[in-house]
Amino acid sequence: MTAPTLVIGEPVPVDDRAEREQMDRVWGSKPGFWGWLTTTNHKEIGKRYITTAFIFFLLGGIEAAMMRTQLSRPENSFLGPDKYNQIFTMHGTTMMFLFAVPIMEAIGLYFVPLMVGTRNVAFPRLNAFGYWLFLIGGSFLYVQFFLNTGPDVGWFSYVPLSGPQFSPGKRADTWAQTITFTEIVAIVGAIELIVTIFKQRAVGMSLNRIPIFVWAMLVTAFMIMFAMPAVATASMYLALDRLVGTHFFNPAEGGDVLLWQHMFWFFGHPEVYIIFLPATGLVSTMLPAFTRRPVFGYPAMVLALISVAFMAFGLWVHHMFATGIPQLAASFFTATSTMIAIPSGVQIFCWLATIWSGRPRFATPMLFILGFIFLFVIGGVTGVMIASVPFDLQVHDTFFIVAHFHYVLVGGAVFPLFGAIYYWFPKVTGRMLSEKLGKWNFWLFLIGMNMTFFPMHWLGFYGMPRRVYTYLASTGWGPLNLLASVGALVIAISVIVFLVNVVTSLRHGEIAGDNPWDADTLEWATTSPPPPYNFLHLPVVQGRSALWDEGDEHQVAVGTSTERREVLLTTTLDAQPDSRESHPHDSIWPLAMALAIGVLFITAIFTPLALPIGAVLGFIAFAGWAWPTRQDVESESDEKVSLEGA
Amino acid sequence: MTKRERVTVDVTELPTVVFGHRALLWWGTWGFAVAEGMTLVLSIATYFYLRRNFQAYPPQGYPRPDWIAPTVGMAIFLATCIPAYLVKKSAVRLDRSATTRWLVILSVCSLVLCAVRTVDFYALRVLWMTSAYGSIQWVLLGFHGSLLLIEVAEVIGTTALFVNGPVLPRHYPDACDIGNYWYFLVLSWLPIWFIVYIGPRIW
Amino acid sequence: MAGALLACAGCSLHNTQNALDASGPQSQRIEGLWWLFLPIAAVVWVIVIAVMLWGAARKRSPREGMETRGGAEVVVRDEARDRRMTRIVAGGVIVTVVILFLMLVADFRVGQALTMAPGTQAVPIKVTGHQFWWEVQYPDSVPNKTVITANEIHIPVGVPVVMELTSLDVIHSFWVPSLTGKKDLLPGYRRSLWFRADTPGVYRGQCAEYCGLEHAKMSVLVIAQKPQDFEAWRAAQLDSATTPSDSLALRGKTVFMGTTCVMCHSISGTSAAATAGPDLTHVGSRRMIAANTLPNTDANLYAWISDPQRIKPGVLMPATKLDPRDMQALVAYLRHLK
Repeated sequence: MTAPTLVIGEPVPVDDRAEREQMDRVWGSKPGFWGWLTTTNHKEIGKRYITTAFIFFLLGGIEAAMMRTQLSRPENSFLGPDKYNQIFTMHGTTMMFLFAVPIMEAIGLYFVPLMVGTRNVAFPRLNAFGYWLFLIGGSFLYVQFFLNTGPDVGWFSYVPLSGPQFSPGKRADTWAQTITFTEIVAIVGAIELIVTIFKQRAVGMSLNRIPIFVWAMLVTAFMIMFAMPAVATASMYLALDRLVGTHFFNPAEGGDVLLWQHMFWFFGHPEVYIIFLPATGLVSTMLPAFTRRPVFGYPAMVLALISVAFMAFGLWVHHMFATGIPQLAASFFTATSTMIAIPSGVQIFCWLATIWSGRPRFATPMLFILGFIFLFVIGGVTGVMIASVPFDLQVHDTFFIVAHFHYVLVGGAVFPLFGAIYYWFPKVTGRMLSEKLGKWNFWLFLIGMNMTFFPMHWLGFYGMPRRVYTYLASTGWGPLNLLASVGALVIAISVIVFLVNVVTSLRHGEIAGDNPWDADTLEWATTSPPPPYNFLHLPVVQGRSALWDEGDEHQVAVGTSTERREVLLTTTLDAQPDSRESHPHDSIWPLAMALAIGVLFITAIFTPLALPIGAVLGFIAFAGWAWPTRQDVESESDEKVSLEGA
Repeated sequence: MTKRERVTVDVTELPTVVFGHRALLWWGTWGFAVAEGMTLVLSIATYFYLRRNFQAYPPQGYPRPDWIAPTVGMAIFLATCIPAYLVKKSAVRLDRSATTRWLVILSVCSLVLCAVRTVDFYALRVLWMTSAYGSIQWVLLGFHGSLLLIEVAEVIGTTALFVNGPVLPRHYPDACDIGNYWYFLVLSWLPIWFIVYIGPRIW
Repeated sequence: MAGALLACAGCSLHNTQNALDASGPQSQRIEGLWWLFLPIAAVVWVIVIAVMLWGAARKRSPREGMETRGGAEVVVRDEARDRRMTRIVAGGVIVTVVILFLMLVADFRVGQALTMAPGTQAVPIKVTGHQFWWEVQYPDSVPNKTVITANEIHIPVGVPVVMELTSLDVIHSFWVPSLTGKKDLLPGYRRSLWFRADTPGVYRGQCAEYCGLEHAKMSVLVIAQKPQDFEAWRAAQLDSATTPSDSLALRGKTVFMGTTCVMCHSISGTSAAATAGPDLTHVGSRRMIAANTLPNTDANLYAWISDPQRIKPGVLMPATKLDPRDMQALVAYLRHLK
């Protein structure tokens, strides 16, 4: 039965079953295991990414629990120095590279196409490739760890400790290659987000109407493009020093140990904003639903995001205040590090204004937002303190810093993340998470967080440095450490409550419907979970709060093909219809390419033969990817070519 | 969905293959160029950072790099922009035979550039393990060289498609993107050539 | 609140490794910054949280009604209220800028004071970092008046000390919180740090840059003494080791010279001159051993030398398997080296 034709000006017929079936045929993935391997659907890939990143979060949490167990008593023998050093390295590397950045990107890859009203990300096969490479890279790290070749030089792997002379073996090489994997994955995700946001927005969604979350992801994606190359370059230099005898970090031959720190932190500081800005985007997404008004001060919020992104690149030397840099340079970085509190403050004040003038509803996501502000402001004020050079010279590399960054990362990013999971679980799965378990999750997490990390501020002042596998009883650090370890146990329980919530709600959660929170962004204008094609008819947007500003009638655009995969491209600034671009079919080649590159990177740390072998495999995968298939030839035989703008 | 839906926009008449920044791949190509360019910028910054650790540069006892062969090589690089330009011009006209012709020439050029790059390495006159000076010189060439190799693969692959395969309308804007990336490759080599070969004579 | 209680709990525990119990001008000025920053931070946090909680929980007046837009129940748009809030938010931003500026001023003033070189004659000390111990030298214009020791640094009270810091292997960091902020020891660089102790005492510090397996047990003691006691100590350190008169210790010297000890350690006045490990000329006078991990007792020396890996797994000192009587003799000899 053919789908009815849709005419401009006319209401859309209510019986859309035939149309939906046709769209399912065109956009659906193939069934079975092969379909699972070849899918290019951003939601399938997004779910995998989020799940995989969350598993890394749990692994990182187990590592944290092991560290806290060891430190709960002076001179404890639960973990010796070698194991402890591997575990704290794995904890940092996992949390920063395998959890925090990937999960924020993944949430973007799932929800940005929905929020901007399109059917998929700009490069669906590249997206699949990114996920497989992420899986391969993360697994590589853990396989090495279980083979006792895991890195043990800290997540920031300072030279010369991580160099060839003081870290023999393959441990530091494992770290360096994991970085290479995750860096490429991040850049792939960033390109997807930027191009999707610039070119595939719904008609009418001009730049001043895109949701704040989408702005946050756009800005973050740009930061990734400029920051990730720095860590990739640094890890490349390290790998070269270790494997082929270059001297980037060897002072005896003109190399420089501080080169590593500059290069790493030039990435490292933007990295934390790459994690934090999407979290602020999550907060701005959820607040309207739970305060019943759009976020206050949209232009200020957007400018705040953009200025944080720029300023984030001007702070990195504050990680190096103890290395003896000249006073004038240090003062500059103190000033910039202090100044960045201003746009962050703007965001917080706008959120407070939103809460104040709104009608709050205290569902679990809202609790996590309030908890986020509670915790992030603590981390923020200690951040301003450590921008001061003399102050930092006391607390640098102590547990005070550990306290600071956990408040801003757990409070500032993980809390909004948990809130977002409670918020979006209904959209992704069609079922609500339990509010009761959600409240237990929240309160245990909040209490545990403070129990674990607040005492660490004092431990830092009392002389406890970071990355110590034990401490003498005579230091007197025992009681505060024990308190922190008990707090870690409370956090662990809260995460278990969360997992129980997820598992039971998947089966027995209340059915959600399209828009259980009565929210304003476009992802709520389709079913829960969304169909493979996202929207049966592409939405046309009238205002910043798409669903609240459109009145009683939902306007749609028609005319993209229902015979093949096609997305609508609109102009970059004003989102006026510009062209229709055909999208690729599902394909195995992204996986093949990821495997080829995986082989290249992994064997490169063992033999230089990896390069020619990897190049050949890569070329084969590239050929498979790019060469048109018969299906392509059939579906792209009749094109309307426009030479305008060529 | 409880709201009424009404059709207000009909995009049936829109083109399905477009050129330049109207197309998605144009953005993807420049996206990768930006990330790779950033890596090159950082390596250039490294060069100057490490320069501070040396009194003489190249360090005492090491020969200066040869500058004549690489400058000839630089000229060849620049000259290859011409076939790249002509690939773009033919592609915009949707002229398969012209595009194919210029792609074949560009493929040959890409192999020539590989030879030029090999000469460039010899012209350094030092190995990567002779001090940090040698290391950064090799990495500047090597990283740009890896971009060159990837582009060689892309150009040859695209040429094979145009010579032999089912050329679809969207491959014309794709060929234009190859031209764009070629410009990036050549232009990004210019500062590196200058810093590596001319630089040691100036500072 | 809880923080204050914790702070008090800590204060009384140990004033020898405590940035909040400063015993010198460097640490004191930094501690002063903390006591300025902390109340500002606390007040800011309290205000933000109060506004948040009050804003969330306050009773809405009937004027703040709801309307239906796009099929959803939302708060009525109120231009006047939004303009008011814009002014308040702008005010908040201005207050933030002012507070940040004041903090910057306080910070720069303290920074100035800390980096200004000490006016009077300072005692120069060279500290070189090793995995996992501190090489300490008191350079003198007369070369044979240079004191070489390890892990325990004596300084005169009330007199500034200028340290030159470097490392021969990886990056370490010198940190004695009661006296001063930290400074990294970087291979290929020479950094300097000045500080002063104003109260006599034994101040403990730890390496504060992850340097490998036993980073956790690389501690340093800074002992601030009355100037005349310091001079006496320094003079004693210049003496070469004497031959012991006690037969056990004499036998110990023979053991020392005949085993692997001489491959890494030096004792001035003997033929042992290796510099891979700490100088042992006056090891008997030090309070602790193994970079301040264990008290310097006979039993601990015995245990340490027999199997350092049990106490500091990963330390670069191998086990020394000796017959128990030889070991006792060796310990007696080291005890003699005061």
